[in-house]
Amino acid sequence: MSIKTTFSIRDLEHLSGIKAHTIRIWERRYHLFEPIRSETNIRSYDQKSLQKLLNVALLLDNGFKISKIAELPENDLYKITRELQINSDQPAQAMDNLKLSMLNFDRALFDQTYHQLLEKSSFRNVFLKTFVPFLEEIGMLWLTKTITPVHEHFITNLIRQKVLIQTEKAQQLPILHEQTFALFLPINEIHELGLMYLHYELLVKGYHSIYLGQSVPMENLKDLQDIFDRVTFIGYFTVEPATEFLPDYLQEFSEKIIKPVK
Amino acid sequence: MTYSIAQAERLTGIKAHTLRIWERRYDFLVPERTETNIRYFSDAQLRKLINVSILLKNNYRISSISKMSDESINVIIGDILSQDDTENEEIIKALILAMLEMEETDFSRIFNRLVLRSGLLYTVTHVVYPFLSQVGVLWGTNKVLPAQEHFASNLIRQKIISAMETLPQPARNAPKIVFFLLENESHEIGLLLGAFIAKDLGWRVYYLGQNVPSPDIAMTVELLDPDLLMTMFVAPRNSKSDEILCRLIEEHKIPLLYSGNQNYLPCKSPSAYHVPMHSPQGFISYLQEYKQVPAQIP
Repeated sequence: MSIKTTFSIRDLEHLSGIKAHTIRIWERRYHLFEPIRSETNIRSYDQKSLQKLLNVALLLDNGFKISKIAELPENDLYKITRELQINSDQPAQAMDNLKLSMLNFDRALFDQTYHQLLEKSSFRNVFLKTFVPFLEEIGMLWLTKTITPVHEHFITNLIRQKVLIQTEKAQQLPILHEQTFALFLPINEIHELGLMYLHYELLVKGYHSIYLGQSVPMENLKDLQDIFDRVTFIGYFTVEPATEFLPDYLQEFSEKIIKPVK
Repeated sequence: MTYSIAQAERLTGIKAHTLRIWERRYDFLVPERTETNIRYFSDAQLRKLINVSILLKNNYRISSISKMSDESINVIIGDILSQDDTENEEIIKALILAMLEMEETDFSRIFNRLVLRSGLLYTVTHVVYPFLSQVGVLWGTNKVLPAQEHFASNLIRQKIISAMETLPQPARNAPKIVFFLLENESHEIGLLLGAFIAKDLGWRVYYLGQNVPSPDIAMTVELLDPDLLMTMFVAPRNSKSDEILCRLIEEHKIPLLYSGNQNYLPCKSPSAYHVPMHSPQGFISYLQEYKQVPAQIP
């Protein structure tokens, strides 16, 4: 398989948050890793080294000393981190697993990690405390070229699927409030994960929520006012309209959509 | 929203000529007129017309329909649609009604019942596709879609994704297929159906979704070494992106399966690695003949 199986020391730094300089010192002092050297003597690391480093970083965060960590047999290292995980609210292990599932395009690991999280807490918690920070980190990893846009496509589609599956369930719940919400992205805007999550939250809270999704022309929002008595619109603007045009957009919105109703 | 008599004809199957006769003979359905005296129907009238067309199909006479109250029409329609042998044509009309009113509950009920009865593949190929093409007829095929269609296609997408989740995991050594849409291509439903089919047949599915630039496809091929690629060409794109994709396919000798609009194919001289898919059934046969697939993990 030709999945990205080796990592540079910079990749390791970006994925674990531990400085390359520190990694090199640990290597010399504790023989923590054994990098493969290229002909030109440049270090590269395999998947297992990455996994180990992610575990080491977690122990450091929990107050362990590196000298002590280095003495641990590998099995104990993983055992301790797993125990820390079970007893903590910090889903750091889950984050590491998500990273690995992304790097390896490993759907099974993603699903497994997700279901473990879901056993311990609500979907809301999983989304807000794990997925959101994870997505923020991905943005960083992408900037530093540790991952490719393909990794990001793969993983965001998986997360989106989970949101939609929960939404499908939430739609079975009774509607408790009269008010109707209509969720849309403006024309040419396609970043919809946040909006999808809002839709889920509204349904769970018993509101009547209508998801219109990507790239909805403003004109077409009027159709909803013909069908429903009171509609609250929720837009989500990530890249469109551009900041300098946003005031104009809102102005137009209030003239065309809000005022005619009053 | 208003509808011309021609649109009403295409949607309900009732001839414009007949509609004009009814207008003279009965008073339950009198269209509005524009300033230039052209007939048009309102949303409410169109909904009524769709209901009437379902009743006609079920051997009710227009003379008795014209005397029915809206409530009793709704009750009868409800009965017709809850029968197990409801014809697809009627199910499609019921979906259109639910869409026009943005009735998520009705839409879901009709959709889920059909999936339960006939499976997702059948539902999508025999009802969702005809439904979408009728809706396309209704509003023209320009890129700007009315809110109702946004509502319906998002809901359908959600249903396919939920159904996909219930399929068993593929074997670790199963063949790999990558699904993607190039930049500018945004219609995901067909692609999702393809992903559902492949997963159902035991393939390892890598779904990248919308808006994947072709250099990224090249990277995917390098990273994943997939057996097949699958995409849709529906919209015009920029040619540079197309060139990269075409070169990639030839260099890696990796079959690119595609469906969509013949006018927007990316490569000028398609080779044997370009495999058009003309129907979901064709896609299924291709996957089945392509490679022995190991059993799924239960």
